[in-house]
Amino acid sequence: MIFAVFIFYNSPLICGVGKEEAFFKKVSTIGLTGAELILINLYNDQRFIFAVTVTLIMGLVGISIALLTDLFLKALGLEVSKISHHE
Amino acid sequence: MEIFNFYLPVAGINFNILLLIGIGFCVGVLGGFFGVGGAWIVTPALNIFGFPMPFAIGTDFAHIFGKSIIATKKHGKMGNVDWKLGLTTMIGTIPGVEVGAQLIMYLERLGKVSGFDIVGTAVRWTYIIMLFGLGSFMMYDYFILRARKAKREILPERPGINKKSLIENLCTIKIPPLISYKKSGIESISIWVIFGIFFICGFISGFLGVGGGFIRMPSLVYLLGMPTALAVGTDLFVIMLDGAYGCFTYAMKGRVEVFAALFMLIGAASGAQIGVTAVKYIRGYGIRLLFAYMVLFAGISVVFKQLYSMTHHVWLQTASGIVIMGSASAMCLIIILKLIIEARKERKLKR
Repeated sequence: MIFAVFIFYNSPLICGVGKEEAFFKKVSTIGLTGAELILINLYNDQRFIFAVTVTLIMGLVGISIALLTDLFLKALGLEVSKISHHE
Repeated sequence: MEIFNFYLPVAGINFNILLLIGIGFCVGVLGGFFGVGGAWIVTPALNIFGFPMPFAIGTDFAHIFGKSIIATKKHGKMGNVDWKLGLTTMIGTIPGVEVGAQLIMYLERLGKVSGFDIVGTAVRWTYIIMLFGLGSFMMYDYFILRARKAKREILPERPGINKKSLIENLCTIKIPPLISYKKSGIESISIWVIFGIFFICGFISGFLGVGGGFIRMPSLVYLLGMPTALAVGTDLFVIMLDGAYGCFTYAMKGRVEVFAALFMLIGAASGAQIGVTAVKYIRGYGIRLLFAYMVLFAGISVVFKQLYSMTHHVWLQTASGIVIMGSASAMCLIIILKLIIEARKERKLKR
């Protein structure tokens, strides 16, 4: 499966499709500060690190919110438990 | 409202934060309730409100990933996830997502060369066909099945007539290796059947920028015969894995606006909790009918957007936004009201 994904992933490069557009687009950093500037610098210079960072950020924020809302709903008495499956 | 506008540097556009949180909330409720990522609402909505199509897809994937973690955790707790089936589907889903994403990039480049919005048009038409096809099928299934059930109560089924269902037919394909999923009640099924079904779901997911739930959830119910609540939870787990890969691959291609995705995630997080909790109170065919209505409304809004891109009448663009956000908000309201009513009833009974 990993081999198949590698082939699919690199197919545009093998075919010469969209190489410049997809991988080497640069975004202006004028007026950007803080986290936004860091992310856009990664976007411009290290696209792989940018992709990993974005995926990790979304995952970590998702997990944090899941834990927080769980606590909140528990306090409200809306805790869920196992249910039986029927139609 | 302009003070809430936020500049998104990668897409190069200004976007309203409240709108992003609002879209996220509605999609969170609907996604958690129906067991879908809800991206079939988000991608058209972002596109309708100004995101270029590839950015709408990429950003949507990022938000789907974060949101589905929340919903999967909750469904896992309710025992609604077949973890084994979810993990096995990856053999078809991941290659499917990548093929779909590559096709988007190819069409985007083709559009730049020709000067037409080829990718937007192709994705919108695919949405129109898929949403109307699926919505009509589910409506047909709901009303016909109910009518048949009512008829059966009057006239008991004649013995001796044994029609093989689609599920049984799929299970008769015995090309090795075979696998069983006890939790879902599948005794034995060829891994190639799983690959075929979920490759198609993955391709649609990568091409349309969706978790694929609106096609995968019905596939789990109608093709594999899973109970609806179990299909909802398992589907969310697959969406989580699929969303992680989609987020990564679209970020690699430079088509993700991470801050927009985060704002939507904040809205979606609270919405998803409400949606998932509502599943405890509204089950089975009730879920299917609401889902069918929502799919059809989403289809109508995409038709308006496509007509706008062809004629450039501004009212079509407005109508498109109203239909998608109006129907999503109305559906959320129904789910929240139902949840409150049923939760109150349960509390009274406990007392």
